[in-house]
Amino acid sequence: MGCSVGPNTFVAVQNIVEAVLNKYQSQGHDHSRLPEFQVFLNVHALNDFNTLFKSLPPNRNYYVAGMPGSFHGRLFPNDSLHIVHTSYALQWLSQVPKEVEDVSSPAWNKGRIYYSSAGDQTVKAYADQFAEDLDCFLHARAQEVVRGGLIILMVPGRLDTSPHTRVVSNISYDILGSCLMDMAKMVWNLEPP
Amino acid sequence: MNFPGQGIISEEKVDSFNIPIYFSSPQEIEATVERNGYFNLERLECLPLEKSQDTIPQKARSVSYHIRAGLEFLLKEHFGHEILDELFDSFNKKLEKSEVFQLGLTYSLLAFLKRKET
Repeated sequence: MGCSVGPNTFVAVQNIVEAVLNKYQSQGHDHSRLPEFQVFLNVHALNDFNTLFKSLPPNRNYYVAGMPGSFHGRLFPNDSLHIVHTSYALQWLSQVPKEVEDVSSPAWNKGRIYYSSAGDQTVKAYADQFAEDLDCFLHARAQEVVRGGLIILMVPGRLDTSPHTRVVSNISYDILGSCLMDMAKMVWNLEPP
Repeated sequence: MNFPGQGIISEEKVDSFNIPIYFSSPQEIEATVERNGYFNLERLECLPLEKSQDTIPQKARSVSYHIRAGLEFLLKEHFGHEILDELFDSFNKKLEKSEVFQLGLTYSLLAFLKRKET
């Protein structure tokens, strides 16, 4: 889920298909009783599914369909999925937390474009939004995934002990913010009196 | 005279732009999965990214490309496409001069969740 349009998706699909087949074979199932695979590739509807489909491996041993939409809500019927895989997608929030854009809120993020070096209230607003989004994701999947089914979830993150300000991407986003502020200030200084 | 980037962005524009991305920790994932209640957390790992042998300018360029690919759509929508080349030029230069590659850490969090029977 949230696979975007690059061909790396098919590496993940192949790994999962092979792992399941290995499991079946190691349990002594003969060839005639191996499962078939239907794979749904999910990403926001604005992405170009044709780009994704063009890099489909020609000799694949699974069936493919696209499933457009936000994974924060329902995408599939009840009890219809066995394995869900999502990699480097859930770090994207469904929205910028409202308080962060509210001038009257203590979480308002003036002069920055990211939370990592902002005040505690801003950081908390981001953390809460992440938790809420992950909860929505899990709630929707809970209806769609069969009992005993799996979710494999990968996100970029940090150690429990490492502060937000030590993450490479976080430092980089702060630097990008300072570049934008430089540009804004440059405009200010050049404006005629 | 025409300065690149001049008159295009204001501080208010920067104030009202925020990146909708969050880097969580294992504890946060665990707490949310538990509160949600539908899944058992079978495994949760924090995997360090392999150390790259690239030089600082190579690393800076790769981070800059990576972030541009991810954020270009949002930046374009908010600030207009005219500022992008100049913005990422100066971003690249600042990255090279910064200590991000000495100080920064990168981890992937990997979780296996199993749907509860009830």
